[in-house]
Amino acid sequence: MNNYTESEVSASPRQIVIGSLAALGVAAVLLVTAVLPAEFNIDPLGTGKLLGITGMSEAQQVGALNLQPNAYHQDSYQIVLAPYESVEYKYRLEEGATLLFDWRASGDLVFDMHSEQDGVDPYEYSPSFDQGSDGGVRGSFTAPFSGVHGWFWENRSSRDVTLELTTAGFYSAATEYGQNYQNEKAFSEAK
Amino acid sequence: MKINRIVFVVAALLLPGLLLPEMLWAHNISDNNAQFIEGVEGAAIAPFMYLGAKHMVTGYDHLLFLVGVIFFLYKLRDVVLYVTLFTIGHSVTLLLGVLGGLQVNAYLIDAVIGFSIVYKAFENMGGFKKLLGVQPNTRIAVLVFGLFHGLGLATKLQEFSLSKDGLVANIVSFNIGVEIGQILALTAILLLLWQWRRRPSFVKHAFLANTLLMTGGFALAGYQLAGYFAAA
Repeated sequence: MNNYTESEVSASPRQIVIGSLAALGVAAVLLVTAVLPAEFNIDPLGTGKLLGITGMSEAQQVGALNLQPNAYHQDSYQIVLAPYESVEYKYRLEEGATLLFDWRASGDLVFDMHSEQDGVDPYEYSPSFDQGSDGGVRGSFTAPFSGVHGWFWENRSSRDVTLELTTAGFYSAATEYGQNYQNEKAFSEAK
Repeated sequence: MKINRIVFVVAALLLPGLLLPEMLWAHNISDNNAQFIEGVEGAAIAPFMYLGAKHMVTGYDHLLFLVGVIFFLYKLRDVVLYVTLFTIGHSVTLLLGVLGGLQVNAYLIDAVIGFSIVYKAFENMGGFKKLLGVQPNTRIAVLVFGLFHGLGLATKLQEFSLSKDGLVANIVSFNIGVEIGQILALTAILLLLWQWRRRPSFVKHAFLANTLLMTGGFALAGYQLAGYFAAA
C-alpha cells in the first residue's frame, strides 16, 4: 500500500482559515478558563473557582510539628571583619535538628551556607544551601544529616564590616574558624 | 468502520486533554534532578546525558515541533536532512548559550518555541502556499527554529548554578543526551506516522491533526507569555 501524500490531504483556503482560528480559539479558551486560574491565580471568568482549580500552583501552607530531642540554645555574636578577612561559624546539628538564624552585616559580605557530614571528607562532599553576596539573611535550616552546619563569610570590601549573628535552635556545639585558628564558642546556658 | 471512526474521534478528543496538563506543567528539570546537578563538581557524563535525553523525551514542546517537521516527510533521506538541520540549530545555541553565559528570558524563548509549533502546523495545513501564496524556505525555517529550541535548552541549564569544573564536558554530554532522546522519540513518532499515512483515515484527519498541533502550539505560547507577564 502506498502512502497518502501531502497533495491528497490538501485543504481549501477557507478550511485553513477556519482551522487556524479554531486552534487559536480553543487554545485561548483553555488558557483563560483553566491555565490562567490554575497556574497564575488569574480568573477573569470565574471558571477557575467553578472548577476548583484556582491557585493550584500556589505554595501550599502546611503546618508541621517537629519535636526535637536536643537541648535548645540561643546565641548572639558580633564579629568585625577587616578587608579580605573571612570567618566561618559552624553549628553541630543532628539529622533533623532545626536552627533558626538571622545574620546582618554593616556592608555586603560574600557568604556560603553549607554542611559537612560526619565521617565524610568535606573536600569530597559539602553541600551548599545558599551562596551569594548580601547584607543579611534570615531563615530556618533543618539538617539533612548529622554534622556541622553553618556559614563562611568574607569581607571583599575595603572597609571593616561588622557582622551580627543571632541563632536559636537545637545545636550542641558552635565553632568559629578563622583564617589561622579554630575556636570552640562558649554557649549560653541551655534553656 | 463506524466503530473505528468513533474510537478515532474519541481518541482525538481525549489525547490533547491528556497531554495538555503535562505540556502546560512547566517543562523544567525536576527538583530532585536539579539538586543533583547543582551538587555535581567536575565532569559527570552519564548524569548529564541522561538529563538531556529525559528532557527531550518528556519535552512536549520539542516533540510537537518534530511531529510537525516530519509530518509530510516520506523519504528517510529527507527526515535525516531536516532533523540534522534542527540538531545543528539547537546544538549551536545550547553550547554557545551556556558557555557564553547568554542570558535570555526563559518565558519568551519558550513562547517562541510554542509559536514554532504553530508555524509548522500552519505550513502543514497548506497555509503558506494556499492562503498567503508564499512558501518560506522550509530548511532555513527548521534551522532557525532549531536555534530557538537550543536557547530554550540553554536557559533550562542556566537556571542552575553549575560548577565551572567540567562544564564543557557536562554540556556536551547534555547535548549528546538530547540527541539520543531525539532519536528515540523520532523513531516512535516515525513508526506511528508511517502506519497512519497508509490508511484512508490519514486523508480524512491529517488536517485535523495539524489543527490540534497548532492548538498545542498556541496553548504553550500563551502559557509562557502569561508566565512572562505574571513574573514581570
